[in-house]
Amino acid sequence: MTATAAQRAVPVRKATYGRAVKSEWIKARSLRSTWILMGFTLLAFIGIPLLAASPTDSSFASASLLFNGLDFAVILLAIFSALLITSEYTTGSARNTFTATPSRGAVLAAKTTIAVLFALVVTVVAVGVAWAIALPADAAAIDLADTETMRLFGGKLLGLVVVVVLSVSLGTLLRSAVGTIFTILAIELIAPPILLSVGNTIANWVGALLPFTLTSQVIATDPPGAGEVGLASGPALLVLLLWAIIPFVLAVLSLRSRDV
Amino acid sequence: MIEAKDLTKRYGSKTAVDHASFTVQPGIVTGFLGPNGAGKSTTMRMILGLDRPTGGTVTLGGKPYAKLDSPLAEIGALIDAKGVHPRRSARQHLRALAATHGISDKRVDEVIQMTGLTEVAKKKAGQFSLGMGQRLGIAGALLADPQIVMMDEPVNGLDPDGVLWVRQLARHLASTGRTVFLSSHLMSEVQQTADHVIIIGRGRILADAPLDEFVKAHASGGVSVTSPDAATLAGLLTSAGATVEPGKEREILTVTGLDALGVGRIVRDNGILISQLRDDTTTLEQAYMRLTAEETEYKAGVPGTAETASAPTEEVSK
Ligand SMILES: Nc1ncnc2c1ncn2[C@@H]1O[C@H](COP(=O)(O)OP(=O)(O)OP(=O)(O)O)[C@@H](O)[C@H]1O
Ligand SMILES: [Mg+2]
Repeated sequence: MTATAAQRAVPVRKATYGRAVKSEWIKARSLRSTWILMGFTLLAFIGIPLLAASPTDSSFASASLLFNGLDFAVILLAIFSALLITSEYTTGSARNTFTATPSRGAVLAAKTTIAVLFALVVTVVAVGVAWAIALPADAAAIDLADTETMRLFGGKLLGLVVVVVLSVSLGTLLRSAVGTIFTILAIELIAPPILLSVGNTIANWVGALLPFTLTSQVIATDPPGAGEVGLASGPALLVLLLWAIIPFVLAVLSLRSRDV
Repeated sequence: MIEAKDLTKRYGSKTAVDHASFTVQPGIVTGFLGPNGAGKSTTMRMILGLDRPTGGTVTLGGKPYAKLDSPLAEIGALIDAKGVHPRRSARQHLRALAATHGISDKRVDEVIQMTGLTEVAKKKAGQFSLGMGQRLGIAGALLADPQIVMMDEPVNGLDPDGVLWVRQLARHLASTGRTVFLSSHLMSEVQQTADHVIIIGRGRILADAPLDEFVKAHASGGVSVTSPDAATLAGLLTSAGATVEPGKEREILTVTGLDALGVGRIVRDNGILISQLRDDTTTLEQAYMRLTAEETEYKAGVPGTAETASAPTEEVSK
């Protein structure tokens, strides 16, 4: 049976993680919904700062304004990320995906890679465009080499990556786009303001440990004062990363143990 | 070659596949036959590592699916025609599949042409008819030119031309030394294509034999004739080229190699007195139905099997 290996009419290579990434990208880009979602994300990113634009004098405030669209865009990018896996189950194409690349970890890593790259590219492009168009007057005021600006950019992008990975992982665990999006909405938009404003320390702490608030804590240069709820930048970074790592590991374990 | 050993799958208390052991050989077409709900699709999903067996193992050329470096080159499978995103074009679906194995676009276009999808390749898969979807599934299965081709109910939804095409494809693949494994719930379908048949009923393998052996064993009852003058009749039938076996009672003969009409003619021409002439030949379809009906009867006879399924199973298998 293996005698034919040498004389294969159709040359094939190993089904690796790298090839799974290529395959996932072909799948993502061949759906119109990907491009529509990208359009809306860019619109949110560029439109919101444009609307909010007002002359500011501090470069940090200007730079921060560039990310005003992110709170909304992150939800759109989370939808894109969740659909990468949940649509496979609703359409039955998961069977093709997992037969072509039998390693569950490789498939999930490939999907996560596409989700992260897509989110980063869209965000960087959008922020760049917003910088050029929305804030022409202030553009010169933003100094990328400035450590505070770098902290802001790095922190925001990391926060985005964490939500995207969380979204792919939750999509894998729940196998439902609606369930995943709702959970992300709750974690990102609904829970933080509620939990942080109630007069209960435990609730405040839960609120402080959500990815949204952790991102601000990572960016903040000054640690919270004594008696204040919240973490210093370093520990906040660690907890933020756990929001991506733990769900991802659980998702791989779930894929390995459950039937497709 | 596909080798299953004690392959078992339970969904909750429902046993879909029950200690199935079989080997699917290269160079021939093997039909996997069983009524609805027998466990054919479940077995195939386990072969592809999609469903985890509750017990037992299945290997492809000696390796479990998860250990294959380039699985699409080892086994190409059609298990679910609708396993394609409805808003992705057929060609992009195949290109994505090809990318996992570094297969060229040239080969993608080749299988599109082979399966007669050239004109609709750019159309969204969701707009495909059942038959077109089936062809797209087959195109995916053939993409990496696999050693084993496995198809779950491949002729489902195909027009007569399509059915003929699948049969010829299966025969052709087998003639080039490949392992071909096709499921069906119709004996007539398997009979036209397969060299070997594996029959499954309620998750258990009921028969596993070359088709002609299965025919000999199950579809050759012959003609039974009862006559007070059996000895004379036996002589006449034998000289007419038939094979005659005396029955348990001396007056009853079982005749093969001659149909009921032929036997009747000899009886008339020679003026022999008979008391009964009966056609006992069973068609393959009947043999298959009888084999699987026992399973179905058992199923119908035990209401609320959910909890007690495993205990009576032992008795029935005797
Ligand atoms: N995911 C599942 N969860 C629960 N039960 C299942 C599942 N998949 C299959 N079954 C059950 O297992 C049994 C075997 O089903 P399977 O689909 O393998 O049969 P089949 O031989 O392919 O039938 P058909 O000819 O109708 O396609 C059926 O009783 C079915 O209801
Ligand atoms: Mg089936």
